[in-house]
Amino acid sequence: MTDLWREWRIPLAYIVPGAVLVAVLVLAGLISYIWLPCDVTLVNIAEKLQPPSWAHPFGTDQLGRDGLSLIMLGARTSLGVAFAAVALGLGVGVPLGLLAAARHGVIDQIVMRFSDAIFAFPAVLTAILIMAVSGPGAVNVIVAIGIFNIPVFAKVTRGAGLVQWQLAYVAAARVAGKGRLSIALEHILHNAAPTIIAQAAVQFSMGIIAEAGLSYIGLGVQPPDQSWGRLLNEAQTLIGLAPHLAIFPGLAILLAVLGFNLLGEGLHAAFDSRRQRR
Amino acid sequence: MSIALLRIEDLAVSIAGKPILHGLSFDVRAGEILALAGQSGSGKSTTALAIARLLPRAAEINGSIVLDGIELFSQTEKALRDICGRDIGLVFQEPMTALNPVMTIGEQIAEPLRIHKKLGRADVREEVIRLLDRVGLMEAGITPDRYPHELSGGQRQRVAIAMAVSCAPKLLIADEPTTALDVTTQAQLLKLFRTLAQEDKIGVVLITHDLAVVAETADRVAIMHEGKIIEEGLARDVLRTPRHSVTQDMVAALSRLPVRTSRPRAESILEVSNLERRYGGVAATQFTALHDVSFSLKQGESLGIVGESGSGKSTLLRAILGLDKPNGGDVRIAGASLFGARGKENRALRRKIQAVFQDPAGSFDPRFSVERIVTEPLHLLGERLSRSERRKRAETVLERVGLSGSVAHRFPHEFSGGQRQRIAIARALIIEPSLIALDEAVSALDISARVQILELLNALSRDLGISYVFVTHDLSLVRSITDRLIVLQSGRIVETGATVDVLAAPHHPYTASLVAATPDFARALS
Repeated sequence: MTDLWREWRIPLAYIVPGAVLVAVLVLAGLISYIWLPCDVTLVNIAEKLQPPSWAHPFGTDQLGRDGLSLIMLGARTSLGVAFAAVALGLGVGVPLGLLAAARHGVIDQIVMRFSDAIFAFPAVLTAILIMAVSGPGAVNVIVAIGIFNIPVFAKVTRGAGLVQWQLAYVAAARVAGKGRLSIALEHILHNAAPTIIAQAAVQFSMGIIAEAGLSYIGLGVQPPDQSWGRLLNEAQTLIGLAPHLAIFPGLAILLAVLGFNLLGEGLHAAFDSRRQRR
Repeated sequence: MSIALLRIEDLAVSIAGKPILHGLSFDVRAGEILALAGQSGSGKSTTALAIARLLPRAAEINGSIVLDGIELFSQTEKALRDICGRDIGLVFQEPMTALNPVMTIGEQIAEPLRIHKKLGRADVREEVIRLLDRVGLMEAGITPDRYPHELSGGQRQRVAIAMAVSCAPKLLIADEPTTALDVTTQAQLLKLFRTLAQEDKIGVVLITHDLAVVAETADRVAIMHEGKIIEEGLARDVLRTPRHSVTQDMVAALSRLPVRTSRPRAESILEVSNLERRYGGVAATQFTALHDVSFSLKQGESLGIVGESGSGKSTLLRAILGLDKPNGGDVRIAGASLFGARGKENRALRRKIQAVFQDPAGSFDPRFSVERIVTEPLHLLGERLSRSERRKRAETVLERVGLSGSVAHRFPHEFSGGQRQRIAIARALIIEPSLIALDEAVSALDISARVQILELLNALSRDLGISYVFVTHDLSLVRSITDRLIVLQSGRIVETGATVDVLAAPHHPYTASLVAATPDFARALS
């Protein structure tokens, strides 16, 4: 019991607050599909730009729409885009990284130089380029952010994989007649998974910031969809008049990023302490 | 008899509430070597760390440690640091990690001289050279401006010893100082310890699991078992007539190493011809790991491959297992070439040869259960087996190697070193191979576990007619498990013959030096 406590004390100090923050925001986004505090399709000019009150805890915007409802709607897009971008990075980057670690030489070189090439492009500029060519919209945002996740996951997977390939159990698996591909899938992937999962949490928080940035400059999702970045964009001109319009979306972004970073840090610590025990 | 240099009374240590040492008492006199011997987990290293005050913060220490008339427990933190730095020298098992890779060896030896002896620049330089000479590095041409990576393992350990004795300590604690080294290097270093004890009147505490080393080196021995000293006395007396049953078992295990009996059949299982392996691309920088290596092995026969580290043993083994493609030559298993085979043919070939690696944690996928580990080679059968069939085979083979079938659902880190090696053997056995290649398979084990594994291997060979290729640096093991021996030096075979003959009358001077350097329990006591 005490051993278990000692092992998990530090990781849990990160994981619990991180998970709570993430869970609250994800729930807010999910609930928005079935229920909202107020109908945001109705314009109510009489109640515009109201400060936080019992009726509208996050105040109202310039069209009199409920701030809390808008934040909940924004959570859908902000978290959804980040999730899809991480999924794209994982889906393409991890197989590439496994392949690079399994096949030394030419394939490794190709995958890694391809990653370097992507890294060489400034991320924001490239995203703007993609948006300019194919137009704004949620799918394009996902692609723009996700492309930059691919080399990150490829490099992390390759690095963790190369360490595993050196170990004697891989030699044992080869003697047992396993090919490089099945060794990569059966042995390397799940031993590299801790590192990949911790990286995914970090990429998640970076995805949220990237989406907010693109939406803020008007290249993200378009009306009537909401996102936290778009809310910030709309609050821009009114910030002197109604600061709450900027404060609450900003807080949502901050808490989401904090939550995912804590989660990533905690998972990393948990895997580390398990490794030490062995 | 002089009074004790180091007197330890009722030393008890518990770490995080768990008792490790239960009241030890022993003395070390100036100029003598006291060996602390025992199996892993007996508390040898904890004792050394307690004397040097290097135990983790969570440790609770009780008792009394008196060094040269000074009670260490009653000293202030600062006084202790001075005493430990000046009067106690330490040497650990792994010489590479004990040295700083970006500092020259001269700078590293000079560090304690500046801190504890407060010598000036010129004096330090002179003293460093004297110390390098003392540990026999000057005659090997090793100057103070060399870096650790330029030195061999044995030379690095000599640097570590030079650092340990730099401030003329009264006590030298050496924790398994030669375990990671070749036998010839080990013999030289043990001689150096004896010289230091006799000429400089240093008291040496030598920690080792190897009773043959004790017999050849130590004046007195204290045998540890489960955190207690169970027997202490003159090394010869204790080892000749052990009184405690645990010591008796350890000594018996040494002299009771099994003797190999085999009935090789006519058909050949392994043929290696003109094997060639070079590393590096350009001819000028190429390193030849194997050169023109040829030998063959009959079914049921066992071959030992011996040599020092860097002799090409492991490269040869990797080539036999098909893990590494040689630049030339061929490996044929039961008549078929290992490198030509593809697909189904390749699988059929690989069913005939399996491997057991040196234990360490890396030998098994940490996330696999024992059942998944031992059934992995079933892949080579080329047919899918049902879950229950796999489990049944796993249980049968685990029982075959002396484990209970019920361990199948447990994980490798729950087992001791000897048990893990049984699991590795079970994994190799499950597809009933004709040949098992063993890479230092028992070197990391305690003497009693070692004997049990060797007996198991001999029984399997006798019952199933399995051949072994047994790679080791330890000549004392080959007699128990092999029929024939090849001796490798710098990638070339320098001697080959029946194991018994090679050990009794080595022809090549390299083999002779290996045989002479191998600690021999019986020889040392006679």
